[in-house]
Amino acid sequence: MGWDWQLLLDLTLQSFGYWWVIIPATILGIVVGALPGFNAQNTLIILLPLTLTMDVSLALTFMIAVYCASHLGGGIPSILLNIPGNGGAAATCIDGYPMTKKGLGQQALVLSFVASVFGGLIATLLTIAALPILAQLGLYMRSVEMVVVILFGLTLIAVIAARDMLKGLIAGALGLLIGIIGTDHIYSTPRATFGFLELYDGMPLVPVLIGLFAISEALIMIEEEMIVSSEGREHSASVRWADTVDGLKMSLERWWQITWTGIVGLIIGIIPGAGASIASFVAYQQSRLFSKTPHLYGTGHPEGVIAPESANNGVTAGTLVPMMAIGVPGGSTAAVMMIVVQYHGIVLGPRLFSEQPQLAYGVFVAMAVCYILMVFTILPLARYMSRVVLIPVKYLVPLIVMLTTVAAFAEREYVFDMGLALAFGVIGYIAHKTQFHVTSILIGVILGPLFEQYLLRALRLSQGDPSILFSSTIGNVMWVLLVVSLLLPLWRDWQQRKVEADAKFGGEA
Amino acid sequence: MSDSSSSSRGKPNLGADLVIPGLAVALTVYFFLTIYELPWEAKANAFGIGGVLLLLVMVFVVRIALKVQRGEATLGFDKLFDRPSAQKKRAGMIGVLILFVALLPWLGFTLSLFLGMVGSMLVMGVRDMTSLLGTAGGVALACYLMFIALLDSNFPHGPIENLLSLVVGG
Repeated sequence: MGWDWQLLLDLTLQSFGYWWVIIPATILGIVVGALPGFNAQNTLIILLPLTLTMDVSLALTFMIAVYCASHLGGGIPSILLNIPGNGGAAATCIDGYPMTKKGLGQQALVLSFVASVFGGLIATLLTIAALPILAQLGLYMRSVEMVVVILFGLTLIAVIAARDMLKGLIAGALGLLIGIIGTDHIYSTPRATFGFLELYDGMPLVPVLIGLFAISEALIMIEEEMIVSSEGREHSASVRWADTVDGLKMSLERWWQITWTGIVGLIIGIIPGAGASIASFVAYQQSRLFSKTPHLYGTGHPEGVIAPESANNGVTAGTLVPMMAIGVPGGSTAAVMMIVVQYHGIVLGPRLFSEQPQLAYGVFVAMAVCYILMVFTILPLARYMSRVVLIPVKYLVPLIVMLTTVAAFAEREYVFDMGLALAFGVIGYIAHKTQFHVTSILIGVILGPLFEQYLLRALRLSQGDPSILFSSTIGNVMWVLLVVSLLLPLWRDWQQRKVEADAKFGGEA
Repeated sequence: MSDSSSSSRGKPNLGADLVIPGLAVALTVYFFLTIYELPWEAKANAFGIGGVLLLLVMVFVVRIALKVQRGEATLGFDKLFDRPSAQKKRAGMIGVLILFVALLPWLGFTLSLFLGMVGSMLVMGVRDMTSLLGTAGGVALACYLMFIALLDSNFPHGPIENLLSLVVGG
């Protein structure tokens, strides 16, 4: 396929000309991303009256900037307060918050920003370069392959559980069971809903997220006067531009990790129904698998911040691919964008690329420009954001507890969800105190219903024959990769122990 | 986070470790009761996950029982109730939250949030009236502007919202 360089140049210049829309939209996106309970989808729905009146390319640029920035914003409270702004940022807590507790909050934020921006940018540029090929990918990922993709995410439970496998697995299985509360996917019969109509649609993610992370963390914070140690406090109080530069250096040293985890996000984003949560868990797990320092994961390792952040922004380009190429939205935010595009009488699908290439490619060019402008908007703010940890706990805890409980209402507008957040807050507190990892519970809650949905879809197609799970070439390759990814750490541990034993034996000899 | 899982005699208290598995077993049993008559598609996944969960909990309980039997651990709950000064604040905070959610439909969003903020800051030991009223008032006002005035969300309305809508409407 020949590239129309003139078109791409014109689109780039046009998108840069929209800087006055991109920058405020970026700030709005970061705010809604950082607030649990809010996301790009509900923000864009609220703003539909505004976007419907805009020119279509301007409206798309605005929505794309909000969307990309919201994925970036979710990582900020994960890092500073151990409270993920959305499901896609949950994996960022695992290493981001320990970095903050060490007084490296500013570096962690910069790592997150750089990984998000460049992960998203690389994924977008790849999409522009290979859009027709990538568009086919979604067609090959059916329910069988999706079962394996989700299993990749679920293996993170085993990784998190490494310190106490039994506790981790109990937490993960409990999360999976909580995740499938609600009506079943085929007959819509209620299961384990405790008689609450509010649970018929399934366990709502936002109150669970807020309870397990925000409220439980606040209940633990109560024990301290400040959330960082005195050493970390001194470091955070004397924030310098040098720390931003230090974070940039850490990021640049890991450019390859940013690249490939961004591509993981892109691929998972293309699959309709999959999203940032799956992408970030899979990227974190795979990143640890191929890391030279897997033992540092979970202790405040920069790689543990980069992987989920790069992947959850890589998703942003991916979710738009099926929308533009075949007219199927890859996610809920893409569906809102589709409404705006269709309102302007534009039919999405393969013909769009020949009939309106300026729009088809313009979306992705606008996304690339948004990411470029975003880095200049957000990076200088890391220095000031990291000072949040200096707020005394006696003010911080009431703010976290009350505002996140309010946020639990935002998604579905049920007071019930606020009570649910409180219940999960107490469960999360007990889990924290007894070292049942709350991230394992959350992975189960997020991936449990998706796993059931795709598994049942596959089994329905085969009329209950489980061999369908091994019936496709792509699926079988993925099964092999899954088994390899489970066995590789065991083999590596065995090798490590062997080397240590040999060294000990050699030393004694 | 401090790990005060050891009793004064140096043995770890593992009673608290049984709370999450206990909840897991209760949920699993309840789940099974609600699905056993459903078609296989509606219960296969739950029976699979629940079965594994029960098995894991059984192994976990046996592990703890063996430790207790060997005298290596006790069944205390110190992990959950360490630091008495923090316990009062924690219980107070949960109490304020329960009151906040319970009174929200009657008092409305803004007033409940204001009182919730005041209550939770009092629990945390803030006594300076300017800080108390200023912070709580600021948060309540900002949330009113954002959620009610700007986003027109369906938070329950109370005297403040009714009064403000009268003033604004008038």
